[in-house]
Amino acid sequence: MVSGVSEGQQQRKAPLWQRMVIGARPRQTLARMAVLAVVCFVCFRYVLLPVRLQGGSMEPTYADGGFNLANAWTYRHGEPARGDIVVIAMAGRKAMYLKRVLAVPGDRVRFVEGALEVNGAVVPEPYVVFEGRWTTPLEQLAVGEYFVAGDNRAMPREAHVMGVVTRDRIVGRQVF
Amino acid sequence: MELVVLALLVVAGVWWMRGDSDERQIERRMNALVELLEKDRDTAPMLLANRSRQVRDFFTAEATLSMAPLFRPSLSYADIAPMTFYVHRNAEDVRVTVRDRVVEVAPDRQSAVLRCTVDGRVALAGETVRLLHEFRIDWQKEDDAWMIARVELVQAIRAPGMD
Repeated sequence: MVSGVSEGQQQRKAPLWQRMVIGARPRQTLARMAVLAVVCFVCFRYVLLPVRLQGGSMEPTYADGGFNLANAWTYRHGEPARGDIVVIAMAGRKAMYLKRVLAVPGDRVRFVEGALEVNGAVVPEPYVVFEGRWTTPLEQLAVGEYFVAGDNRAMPREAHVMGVVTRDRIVGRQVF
Repeated sequence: MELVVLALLVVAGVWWMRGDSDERQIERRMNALVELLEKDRDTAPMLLANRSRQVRDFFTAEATLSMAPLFRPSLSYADIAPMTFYVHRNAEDVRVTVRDRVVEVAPDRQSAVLRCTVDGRVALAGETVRLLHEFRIDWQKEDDAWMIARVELVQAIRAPGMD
């Protein structure tokens, strides 16, 4: 018979290991764990997406094997801007590209011997340490199109995924 | 506690009721294909030719593979076995992981589309090349077996100068 035994008495009766592991009130502990699990699920699935970096296309800004978070809410009330580092979805969100936005809709963009040209003017890129000599055809970006590339320009152009991406594929912005 | 057990039983029942659905058949076929595409360092060279033919057997006779910018022009059924053999013979190690699979089966259950991201790592002359691309794979039912009718590399990021 449990009736008549107060919660305080139960707390006193609980063995030490139980109080240490799941607390004196297991039901409250379970409820807290459930709430925490739901909060974590929502947070890391819809707001802050965990990103494990693989590959060297963003070096030295981001090293191969690093960890980061992408804020999926950044662009709910705004649009990607030049210089933003964004995550780009493919078939889903388990494997995504990490690139820097170099040009936005309406821009004309190209690389000439490694120099970035946007709307006819050379754009300084202080984040580029590993320079290259890429030359690409001129791209006129339409509405909803962005030009993205990694920071590591020393890679061969063929081995470096870069170019035009549509707005619907941009999932969020890197947090740090 | 009883509720949790009941919920688990319901989930297990629904899973079991799905049975051998077309979606699961396609996923299994895809897993089998991935297994054949992979190669270990110690894979006997004698096995490679046979394995490349097994890969080809996953495709319909009219299959096309549009893989630009990886391979140009498009590949056909006749190219599949030689291409697989060539890659396996030259690569020391091939690893393939298929992520984010979404299968959509047509209402007549005779065709389906699988969208996925393929993460491939090919060890070549001591260096590992990583290929990460989105694919659209069209499946077609032939004699009750799901066969690949078309493979298309989807460029999430379109290379400059490619329309």
